Parts: sequence; structure tokens; C-alpha cells
Amino acid sequence: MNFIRIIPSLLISNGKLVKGSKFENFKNAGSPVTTVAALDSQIADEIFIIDIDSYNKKKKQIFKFLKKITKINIITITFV
Amino acid sequence: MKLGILDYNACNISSIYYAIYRLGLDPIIVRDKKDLKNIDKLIIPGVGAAKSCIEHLHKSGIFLEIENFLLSGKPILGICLGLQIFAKKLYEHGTSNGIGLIDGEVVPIANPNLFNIGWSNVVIKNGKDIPKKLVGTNSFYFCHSYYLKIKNKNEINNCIGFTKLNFDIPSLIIKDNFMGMQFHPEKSQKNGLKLIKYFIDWSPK
Repeated sequence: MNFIRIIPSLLISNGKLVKGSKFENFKNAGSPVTTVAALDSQIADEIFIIDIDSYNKKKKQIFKFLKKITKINIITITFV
Repeated sequence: MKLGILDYNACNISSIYYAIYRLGLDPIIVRDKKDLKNIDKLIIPGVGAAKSCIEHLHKSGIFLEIENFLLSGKPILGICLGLQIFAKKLYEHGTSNGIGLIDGEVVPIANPNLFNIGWSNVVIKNGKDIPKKLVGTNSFYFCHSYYLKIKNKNEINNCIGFTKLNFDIPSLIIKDNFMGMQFHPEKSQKNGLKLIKYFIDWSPK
């Protein structure tokens, strides 16, 4: 059975939520934990989190940060 | 009441832990067979490959303890793979024998592998003291590529919930003191929490 799924995607940089225009000028857009909590309460089907630093800086994936999110939200999360 | 979550190296314990924590309970994570004796209710979470999981259960001696737990009449909740290990035979990564409570086999949804990942509807029938607010069609989060195939007609009566893929698969089973869910209630938001709450309050007859 097919459903229309609403999947918000969030960009993360240095552990903070960012918003840019045309992939430039990224500005701080608040805490990812509270944003995910808000989207969870609005019954999003899944949340897509993209770490924009991980490719350029070859940082290790931030599992501690993800644990913080999943601790208070029961929503399926895809992390890249 | 002490609620235990079984850790058998093939499951996601933290998401079920936090889902129950949200409902106001503090579950115990069971890693050793000795701990199973102090527990009133057991949750066996899922995600993993059947063969390596069952091998680990035999090696650590938990397999026998689960059988004893089942015989003692205390409630067990099996999620995903936790449900599938209660079948008679599993065909994931080679053949292996399960606990054998449910007369069925665990077979792939389709060959080559078809995954069922995402939200699907579960039709929950009336019966077996299921509260009325749970009866009906609700969507739950699924993540599996094998399912429990039941041929025995008497056994089908124990299936409370069905999901329609290309064919019907049993997704919610209640038999004696065992409750099994093919979907992931810990990831299914409100609907899932309702079912976990039902299990926490559940006392099988």
C-alpha cells in the first residue's frame, strides 16, 4: 500500500542546525534536538538529517549527537 | 513490575528502551541468563539476521531460559526478529530451528529479496481482549525482508493483525502469554506507544 510520506530534511554543521541559500552562506537555525521534537509532535513520517561537514572535513559520524536526538524522540531517522 | 529488554547482540535496544521510558517505566536491560529470573515481563527487540541470532542465543544459554520463561506464563513481547524466533523453522542465511511456539516458517517476502521498509497499514481484528480503541486500521513502521508464514488454520486464529503487501502477512500475533509484532511499535509514534502500553498493562489468561 502506498502512502504519501512527509520527510523533512535538516542540515547539520558543527552540531547545529543550519540553513543556507544555493548551498552557500549557511546560517545558524537553532538546536536540532528541539526542531526534531517539534517535527515529531507534528507527526512527520521520518526525518532526514544531513551532516554537511562530514564530506569535506572527513569527520567521524556524530553518533553521540544522534543519541541525544533519539533519546527524546521516537521517530525514524535517516542520517547521512 | 519489572520489565526486561533482552540484549542478544542483534537488536536495537535503545529505541525500545526510550519508548518505554517515555511511558513512565524504567526497564532493565538483560544481558545474562541469570537476570531473566528477576523479571516479570520480557521484551525481545528485533532487527538482525536469524541464524547468527539463534546461534548466539544457544551459545549464551538464553535460548533455554526463554523457553522456561514462556512456560512460566509470564508475558513476552517479540518485535520483528523477536517474533520470528518463536516460529518452528527459519530460513534466513541458512536453516535454523526456532523456539517452536508458533506453527510456521520464516521465509523471504519475495525472491530475490524484497524489503518492506516504511509505513504500512495493519488491520487489527476484534477479539482476544483487544481494547476497542486498537481495533481497526492503523499504520505502523515496518522494516523487514522475511515474514512469518502460517499454514495451520488453528494458528491463523491467533493472528490478530494482518498487513497487506502483495499478499496478507501476519503482523500481530497473540498466543497464550506471547505477543508478537512484525512492525516496530517503538518507531511507530502514537499508534506504537498505544500497543506498548497495552502490553505493559496486559495480563494473559
